[in-house]
Amino acid sequence: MVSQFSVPWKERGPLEFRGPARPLAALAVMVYRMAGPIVARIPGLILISAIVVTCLVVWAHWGVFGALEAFAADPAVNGAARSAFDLPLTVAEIHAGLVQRSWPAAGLLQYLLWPLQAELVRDLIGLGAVFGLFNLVPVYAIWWERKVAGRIQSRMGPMRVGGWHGWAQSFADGIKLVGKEDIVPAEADKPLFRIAPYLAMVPALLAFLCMPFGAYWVFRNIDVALVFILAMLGVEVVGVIVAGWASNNKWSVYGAMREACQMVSYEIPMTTVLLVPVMAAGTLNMIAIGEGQAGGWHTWVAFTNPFAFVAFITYFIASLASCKRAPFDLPESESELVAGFHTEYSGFRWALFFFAEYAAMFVVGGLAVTLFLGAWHTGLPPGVGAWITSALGDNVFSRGINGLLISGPVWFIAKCIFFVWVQIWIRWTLPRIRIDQVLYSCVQVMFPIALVALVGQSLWMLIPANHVVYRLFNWALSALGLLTIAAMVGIAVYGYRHGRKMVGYLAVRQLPGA
Amino acid sequence: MVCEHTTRARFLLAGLLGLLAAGGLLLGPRAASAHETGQPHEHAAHADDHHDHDHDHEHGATADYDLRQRSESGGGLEALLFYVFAATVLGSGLAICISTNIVRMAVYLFVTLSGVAVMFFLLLANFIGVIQLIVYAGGTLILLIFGVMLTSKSPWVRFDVKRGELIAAGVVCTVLAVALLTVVVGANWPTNDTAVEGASVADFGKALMTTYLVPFEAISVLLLVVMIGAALLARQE
Repeated sequence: MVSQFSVPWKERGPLEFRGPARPLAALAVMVYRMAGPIVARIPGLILISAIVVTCLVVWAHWGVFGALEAFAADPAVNGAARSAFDLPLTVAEIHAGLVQRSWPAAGLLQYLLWPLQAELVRDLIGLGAVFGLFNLVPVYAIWWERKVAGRIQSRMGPMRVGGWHGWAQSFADGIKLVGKEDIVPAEADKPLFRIAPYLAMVPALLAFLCMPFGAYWVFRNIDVALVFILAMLGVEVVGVIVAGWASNNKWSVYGAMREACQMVSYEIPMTTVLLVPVMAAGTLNMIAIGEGQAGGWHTWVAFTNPFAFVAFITYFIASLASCKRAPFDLPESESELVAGFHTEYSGFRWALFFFAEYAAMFVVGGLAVTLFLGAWHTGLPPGVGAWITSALGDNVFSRGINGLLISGPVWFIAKCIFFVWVQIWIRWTLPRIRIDQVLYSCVQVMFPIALVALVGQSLWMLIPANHVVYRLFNWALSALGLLTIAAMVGIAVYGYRHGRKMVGYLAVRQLPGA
Repeated sequence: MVCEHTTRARFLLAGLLGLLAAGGLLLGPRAASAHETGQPHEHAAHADDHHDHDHDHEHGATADYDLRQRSESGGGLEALLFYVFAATVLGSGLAICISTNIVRMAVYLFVTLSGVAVMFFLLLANFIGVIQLIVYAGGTLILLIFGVMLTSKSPWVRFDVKRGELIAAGVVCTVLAVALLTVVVGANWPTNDTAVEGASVADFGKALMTTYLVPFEAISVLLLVVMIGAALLARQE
């Protein structure tokens, strides 16, 4: 069979889609031609109308939920009064409720209301949010990585696409990557080569399903959420190894073997130190672990005792290895292995590896935040939330402020993004270490430290929380944590205000052509 | 080169697995229907209602489980998912037997193991499902692929069977298939409506640390011995 790609590109006609892809492609082109000019002219209006439409949809659902709740709690409709959030109503029950309240068009409305009950709608909204965040995180993390890398190297990074500091650069890259030719090397193991990016991406997406963004902001609050996320981080490696192997390229296989080697060894200290917060909380449920740190920043697990603090640092280093970030980015070390395991990949499949990598960065940051650094809590004393409720009354505003700003997804995501930023910053400041150094630091340095932290934590749990030793270490570590944050903010502010006096800027002015 | 009896061996294996598959699919609805009425709803693990959540802190993870009965609408979807994943597990199991490429076999094995983990999730055995993923799909399988990659001499490792191996494999498979089918057909599958008591991770951990402490420690020591032995063997080379 002669592929259309076997003719030189200049003699090739436009790409033709066959079969079921044909109407879809025609539809996509039509939508692009119609929406493109509009999107280009009125992006602000589109954003505002999207927000308005979202609010309207939420408002409509609020009405529907209210109606369903009323039907369910009505003993005349329903034999035993119950909550609509507990059990789905049957169509007949909804019909009875509609008839009793003499709503119009009960026959049609009963079928319209039935699928809108809490669980299904909640799952759909939750899936949309999880998938949307999973898509947005890599897009902006990649743009941000390029900006941070640029600043560290005394250049600007992307500046053009979209206007303000190239904010749309990753979208443009995404469109470019989707449009690129999907090359599969002739000597590759083709089915495995095609499936490998998905094996890497899907586990990273699944890990988001159990991420606790807030006390009630979690898609599935399962009792073994922590182990599930660790399992997903472990399974992600299979995709990388299969990609490296199926490429049939020596650089790819080197990358894949390094990944396997590194992952198998770093999972051990990582899992061991994660037992420290699990022991402190007494559960594997992420929500329960997060709720245990609600009493202000001195109750955050990392600051409770020295062993937990050591465990936090050890976990963070091991997590760099687990999502193959520098200084452990040996699987794709671009200066020696071309691009490591994804040397042969291009286009959309290549983009999927990057989605997996940046999503995994967010996930390991989320684990660090949930287990060690107060999850979705601000670190303010717990009285603040109660004070806001008493000041504003128990209404939608105080609940919104408490649920979003005082302890909610905003803080969780902000902390996760902080860890993504630390990973980016480490990548552009530290050199890559050799594979023997990677294994040495795992087996002979981090694993003993992890064991000491584990044993130390189990002994520390014998000290009561009001004992003077416990309090001394708790407050000393809390002060250390606060000082670290203050110092980082201070250095950042100093750097921002004195950027033009710094070495990099001065060096740029001495370059030829400046 | 693939010899003729190698192919025959694969079809023998495939046939036996197909027999097992048929047995499993025939019995699947019985197990699934028993499960539909009995187990608490998977959605019970949500954090969506506030009064439930307050109890979580008192009872730990067990509180998630005794909240709701299975909804009427959940049964059909669950049976559908059972069939989809049962077919995935069996299909990839057959593919392991039929494939000649070791790395592809490992990938099919990955699909099989993940599918089994999904079956555990469908049975609300979250802990076993997750352990299945982390130990087999994430750990053992990677070591397996790693071993294949390190030891193979040619890029495409083929897996050929000799006549003696064929006979031995056939005997073992027949015995295994007969034994499994006997158990599957003859077993008294539970059909009661009560949820399993003490199925939470906390109960599991307590049981390991009290009732089953000696076997647990014995297994730990055994694993330690295996590790030291492996290191010793590797060092003597």
